[in-house]
Formats: sequence, structure tokens, C-alpha cells
Amino acid sequence: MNPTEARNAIQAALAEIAPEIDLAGCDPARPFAAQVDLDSMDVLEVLAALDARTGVAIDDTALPSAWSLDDLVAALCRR
Amino acid sequence: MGDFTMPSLGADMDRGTLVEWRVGVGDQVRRGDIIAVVDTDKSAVDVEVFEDGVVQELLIEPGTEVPVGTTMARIGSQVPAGTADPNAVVTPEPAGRGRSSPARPEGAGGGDDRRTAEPSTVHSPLVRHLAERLGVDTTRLRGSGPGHRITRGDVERASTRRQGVARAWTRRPPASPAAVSPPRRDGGPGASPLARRRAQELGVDLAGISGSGPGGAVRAGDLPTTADAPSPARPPAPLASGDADGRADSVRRAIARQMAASNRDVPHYHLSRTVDLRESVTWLERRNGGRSPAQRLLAAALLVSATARAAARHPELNGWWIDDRFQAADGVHLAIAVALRGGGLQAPVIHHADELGVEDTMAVLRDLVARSRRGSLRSSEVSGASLTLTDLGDRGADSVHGIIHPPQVALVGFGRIAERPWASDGLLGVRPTVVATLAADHRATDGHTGSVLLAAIDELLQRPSELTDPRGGPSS
Repeated sequence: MNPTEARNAIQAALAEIAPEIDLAGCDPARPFAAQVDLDSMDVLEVLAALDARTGVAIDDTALPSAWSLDDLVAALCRR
Repeated sequence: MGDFTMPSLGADMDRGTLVEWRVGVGDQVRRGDIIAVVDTDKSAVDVEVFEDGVVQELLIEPGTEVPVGTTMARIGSQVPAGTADPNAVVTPEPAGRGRSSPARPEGAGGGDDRRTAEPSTVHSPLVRHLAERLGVDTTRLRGSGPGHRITRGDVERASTRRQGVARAWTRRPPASPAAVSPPRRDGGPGASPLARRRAQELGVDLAGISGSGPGGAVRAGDLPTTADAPSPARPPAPLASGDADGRADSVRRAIARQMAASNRDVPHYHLSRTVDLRESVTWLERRNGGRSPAQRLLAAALLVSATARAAARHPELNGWWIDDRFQAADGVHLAIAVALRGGGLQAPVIHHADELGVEDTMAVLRDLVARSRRGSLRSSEVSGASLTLTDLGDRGADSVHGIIHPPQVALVGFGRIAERPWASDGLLGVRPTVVATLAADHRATDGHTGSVLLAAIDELLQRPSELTDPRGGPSS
């Protein structure tokens, strides 16, 4: 998967949980969940939706604790 | 048999608007079926019926706002004369308790597929991977593909049905709305809290009403309807569905009313206890290791389970303050405060929350949170709470000193789980901890009782593996 595909998958997964979030308005290098007000339940649902769409099951304990959009894209592209 | 009346979908609700009927005259209904969609200040709710029967008459038009207790439909035992389809059945959604309902065959030869007893197989590695990811046991699936192959669709449907297991819990046929009907001080049959309030509003003496509830208790439906009370002069209320700002305002006003009343009327005391979560967090990490996101547990599930079980052991904090006395609930009906995106709060109820194991608690939590945010909760899920839990989450403050939701007598809170200094055996270290708080009604309990509840929650969180077993009933 390339970064563009990863970003699209993330946007699509996010749309299932919080349709009003627009990735374009986010700083990809700063902690992501805080920027868009996602709690741990939301994050779990986003990761589950991402898994269902891409086949990539991200272990959020393997992500830095305040992970950024770039971190998530990188994790998706690694697989 | 019975009348369907505008239900009270929250302690401070006094009117609701019928959005639409989900049944027609002549339809057969079973306890737990959705009969109507009702709009409250806070959201649209799918309302369930409490009794089996056949719909005789629909008395209220969609779009009409009526007071709680108003008769909206008549439900009888016979099919009314002149109904076109006497066998019309409102089919409830499947309980989804097992994988017993086979997937509808997609390919040709539908009938034949069901008769054979050949085991279904997964031939495709992709489908097998999907099943693993979604946590579906393919050995129990009936494949709908050629040669009973298990298809992607079969796996996806099974996963949806598994989510249905969570919903089966929240959709258990609800207890009667008159579940709380304590005997009156004069020894006469009691009345439900709603009936008492309605009687007061209508200026009716409960002693003169014969009750249809357990033990002759008076239910709201036994009281005169609005035919005897002044009818609302306003035209049918506009539905809020297209009016997001209007909805946000009404949610805010509803919360404001409830919180102001609680602050004014309830003498709160507040306690806190810092809980060492090392055992729980370690247990969680081990249990979650290698699992896909859809199969993981959040710490919140442990906090909910521990709170529910502790409340089962301390019934003085699980119930309602009504008419100058405490009334214990028949079980732990735990409301979970859910923050809605864009502001506002909803508190869906997990009935008998102490009987669920932590795995099922997680499934129920995911389902309730998702449907709270979508605005599609059922009436039994927004009423009857005997205790509320508020968990601020991973970016919340360290502790929450909340306001009780009347007529409940307690509110349990959890702040952010974080690594904090911890003294143990004379040494200073670092452990994950959480500050658990209790806001309690001082009319019902004193600080000692509250402290004992927090201690019980703490103890349960030191032995997380014991929270995994579901239970059949309250622990002694």
C-alpha cells in the first residue's frame, strides 16, 4: 500500500465512525486522536474498520502512545 | 389486554412526540418488539412493547406530541374484525444467540443446500483470513457457496450476527415499566414512580385507582388519560430530524434541567480512591496480544464490570430515592455516560450489568456507544437505570466529581488511566493507576457505605481474571 491509498483508507474508516472529520484539516505530524477528539473506543472502531477494509490489523500498542496520522500511514504501508 | 402508552424514557421526561408507528392494526406483537419511534428532547428512541398481543387500534397520529402516560394504542388478544391480514406478524430481529440460522443461499439450488449435512468448508485463504480477523468460527457456519463453500458474505453475516449477541443482551424483553412498585406506608398496594408523578400532575388520588401491576400496584396506564386533563393546545411538534441545531439545543436544555434539579435537591457527598491498575493492565495486554482490533478489550470494559459487580454486593447504592425513601433496584441497571460528538450526553443502560462477563460487556459497550452516537437506542436502553458510571477516558481529567442523575442515589466516576508514582512495601515505583470517585446522595447513604463500594471496585480490579465469567445472578 502506498501513502495515498493508506490515507484514503483512513479517511474512509474515519467516515464510518465520525463522518464530520476531514483529514485535510489535520496536522499529520502531531498527535492525531486529540486533534479530532477520538477516545479509545473510537480509535478501536477506526482500527477495526481499517482492518476490515485493508486487511491490516494495527496493534495500537505498537504505535507511539500519542501517534500521529503519519505514524498510522507508516504502519499501514509497512504491511 | 393492555394499552400502549407514551413511555417515560428518562426520569425527567414528561412529553414525547410520536415519529412513526412500526406496526399496523392487526399486527401481532411480542414482548420486546419495536412498536413505535418516539422523539424526546434528547433523541429518537425505538420503543418496545411490554406484552404480547395483537394491535387493535392506533390512537395517535405521527407528529403528535403527548404527555407521558397518554394511551397511544390498544393491544388486545384477538385479531380485530375486518383486518385484511389476520396472520400478519411483526417479526422481531433474531436474537442471534447462536449461529443456528443458516445464511440464505446466494447461488442456485437454495432448497437442496439445506437438506444435506455435509460440513461447510473454507477453500479460500482470503475468506479464512477474513474469518480470523472478524473472530468468526467457520466450523459452525453453513456455507452458501457452491458445494457449501463458505463465502466472504457468509463470514460477514456471521460477524454481524455475533454483534447481534451483544444486542440480544440489550434487547432482552424489558421488564414491566412498573418494575419498581414498593408497598406504600399505609400498607396498600404501591405504585410505580411514573404513576405517582402522573397522579400528582393530574390531581388524582392513587388510593382510588385499581392497579394492574404486580400485587395490585398502580401503573401509569391505570390513570386517566389526557382526555380528562387539559389537552395540549399546540399543533403537532415539528420533528427535529432535520434540525441539528434545534436538537443540540434541546439536548442541552434537557441536561441543564436534570443537572440543575439534582444540584438543587440532592445533598451530594463525594469520595475518591486511587486504584492500582497494574494487575488489570497486565491482564489486558496479555489477553489482547495478537488479537485483531475487533477482538480487543478496552480497560473501560473492566471498569464497567467491576463497578457492576461491586454494586450488586452493595445494594444500598443501587436504586432510587423516591417519596422520601430509598428503593433498591431488582438488579444492577448500569447507565454508561457517553459523550456525543458535537456535544451532549447520552446514558444508555446495561440491564443486569453484573451478570455479564467482561467479554460480553465489551461487546455490549461497543454496540451501545455506536448506537448512542447514531441516535438509534431502544426504549429499554434509555430507561430504568439504577446507577450511572462516567468514564472520562484516556484524555480525560484525573478525576471526575460528578452530579448524580436523579432519582438514582449514586454516580461512579473514573478519570484517566495513567502511570503515576505508587508506594508499595516501603518503596516508590510507577504503576498505571486510575482515580475512582463516587458521588452519592447523603439522604440514602453515608460516607462509610460509599467507601466500602469504592473498596469493592478496587478489590475486583486486582483480580481481573475473575471478571471474565458470566454469572447467572447477583452474588450473595
